Amino acid sequence: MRESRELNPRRRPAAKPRRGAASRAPDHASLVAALQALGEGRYADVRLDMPERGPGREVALALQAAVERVQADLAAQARYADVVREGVSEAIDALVKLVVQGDLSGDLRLSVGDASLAPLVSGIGQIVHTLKRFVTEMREAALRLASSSEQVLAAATHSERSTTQQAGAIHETTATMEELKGASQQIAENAQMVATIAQRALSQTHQGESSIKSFMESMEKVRHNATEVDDAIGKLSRRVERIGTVVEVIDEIADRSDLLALNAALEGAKAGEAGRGFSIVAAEMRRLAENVMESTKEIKNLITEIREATHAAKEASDGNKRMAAEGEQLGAAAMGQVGGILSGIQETSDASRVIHLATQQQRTATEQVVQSMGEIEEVTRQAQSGSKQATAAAAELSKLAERLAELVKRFKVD
Amino acid sequence: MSEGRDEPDIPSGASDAQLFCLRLLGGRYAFEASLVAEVVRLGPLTRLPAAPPFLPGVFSHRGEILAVLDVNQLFGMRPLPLGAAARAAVVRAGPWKVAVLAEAIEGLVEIDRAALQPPPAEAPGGAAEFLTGVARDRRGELAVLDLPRLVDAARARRIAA
Amino acid sequence: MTGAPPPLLIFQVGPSRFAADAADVERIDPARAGPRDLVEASCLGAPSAARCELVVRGAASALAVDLVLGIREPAPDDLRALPELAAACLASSAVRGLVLLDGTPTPVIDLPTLVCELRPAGSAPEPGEPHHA
Repeated sequence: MRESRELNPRRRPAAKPRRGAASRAPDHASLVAALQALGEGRYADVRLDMPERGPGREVALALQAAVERVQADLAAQARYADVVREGVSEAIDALVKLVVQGDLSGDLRLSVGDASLAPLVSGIGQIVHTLKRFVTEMREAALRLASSSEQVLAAATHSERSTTQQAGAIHETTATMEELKGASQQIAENAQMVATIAQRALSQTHQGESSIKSFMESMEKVRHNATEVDDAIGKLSRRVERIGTVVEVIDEIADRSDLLALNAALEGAKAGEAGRGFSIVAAEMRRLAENVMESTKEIKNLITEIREATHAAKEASDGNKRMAAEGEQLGAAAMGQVGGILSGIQETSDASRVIHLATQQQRTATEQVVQSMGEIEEVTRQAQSGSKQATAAAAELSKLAERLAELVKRFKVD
Repeated sequence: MSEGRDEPDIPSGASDAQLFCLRLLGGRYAFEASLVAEVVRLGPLTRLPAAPPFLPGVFSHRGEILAVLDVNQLFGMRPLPLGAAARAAVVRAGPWKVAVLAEAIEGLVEIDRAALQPPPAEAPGGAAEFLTGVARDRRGELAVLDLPRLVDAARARRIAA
Repeated sequence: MTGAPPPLLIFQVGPSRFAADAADVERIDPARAGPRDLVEASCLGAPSAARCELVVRGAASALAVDLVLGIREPAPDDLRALPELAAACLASSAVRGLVLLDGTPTPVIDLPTLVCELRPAGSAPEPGEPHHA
């Protein structure tokens, strides 16, 4: 009991009991005042006279103990509140970081001293985790969306392009068909004129045909003549060659005879008188041989001349033959052309009668084609506009996907 | 080829020289007819190694092998033609039997010995040394050759070819 | 000539054909076969292709020839002496005679004499070049 002052070292010492009133019980007023102060929470104003003995002292002590107890409890409570406040403050900070900076990486580290805060911490942890998951999913979805929209855009563009092309092609075809329609009309109108022209050309060509025919005939004659000449020259050549061979043989014989005669004369001379007759004969033989050789020499010269002349004639004949062959070729070519013209004209002549009918039919057909082409064109145009729309939509989609991606990018999950 | 086509040469008296005439050295040359064994056409010639130019080769005639003498080349003149028509006179000149090549062979001629003139001092190619005389007949001038001496000299190679 | 004539080796130098006693030819070598005296230019002429060499028996030399045509055994009648004027005028003593091969007179050459003739001066008498006595 005498330690009462040690209970609250930090506080103002509790009210010192007045010495003078040690033996008396605290008076009723001061007690009431102390209790009122206590009741009003003015713990500093709780002053008690502390008697030294007596029942008052017990009351005072008990009151003092109670006040001190309350004060201690209050302090503990205050401490507890501080801790909690700190923990919550950290949690709030973390959440703020999350929201403002988007940093979901790492785990929520809260140095929480008090176990009662644990639910709060785990609760916050769960929120972060969920948020993380959510963001990841979003990101993936955004990516997928972006790629799909790209594909759609590409397809739409492609489709747009091809429909444009198709539209262009169809347009051209339609235009051509229109032209054709117009042309066939003209043909029908001109059919009559064509017929007249064809008739005139036909008669002129007939004339040309006959003159070409006569040219061909004369070429044929020339060639025929040339062949005859050739044959004759050939025969002549062969005969000349045969003569040449015979002449060679005669020459040879004459030469040998000459030799023989020379030797005979020698023998005759050696035989002296007895051989004189022999020598005469030999001399005669020599003369004969010489004559023969002279003649053969002349014949040989003649043969050479004939050969040269024959050669020249053959060359001339060959030239003629060549020219005749060329002429024939030209004539044949001309005939061919004339024939072509004739048949063409014939066709035209006949055809001009048919053209009228044909153009009628053709006109109908052409019209039908044109109509069909028109329909196709219409469809194509629609497709074109449709694909244009599709392209626009796809572009829009693409943009949205981009924006989403941007948004999600702000959350750091890794 | 042979020349002449008029009357035959009729052999007459012993005062006539019987000569055999041929064309070589660019002219008419003759020698004793008795030297001539035969007139032949040259066959294909076989050249002999280390032979002088005036011996263009040898050929086979009726089984006998004869050497050919080109008198032109002996005297440094243009070689006589050796074609298919080439003719030679097979002669016995001293110990030698040889075929004397000629441009043409006239054959037998008769010259009056009295009409023989002395040979000129000069003859084509230096053949004067071997001429015994010159004569003239219907066909023109001819020179008479001492064939055996000529061939001997050839053999002795005293003639520069 | 006594007895059967010896077999002859027929060869060609340039366009000309010759015959030689086969016994004088030790062997026939291809061109450039060995280091020895090679006779390329002789009175027989100069070979155009020199495809073979005739190695001469008893000599250290060989004769360059264009072709070797074979060995013939001539009949005794086919062997002939050179016409006397020819024999007297030839500048080489290597030409010993003629042999009729299919009717064609062919010079018969004594090969040892031929290669011997060439060794001292190293130059053969050219065909047709006469010696001045």
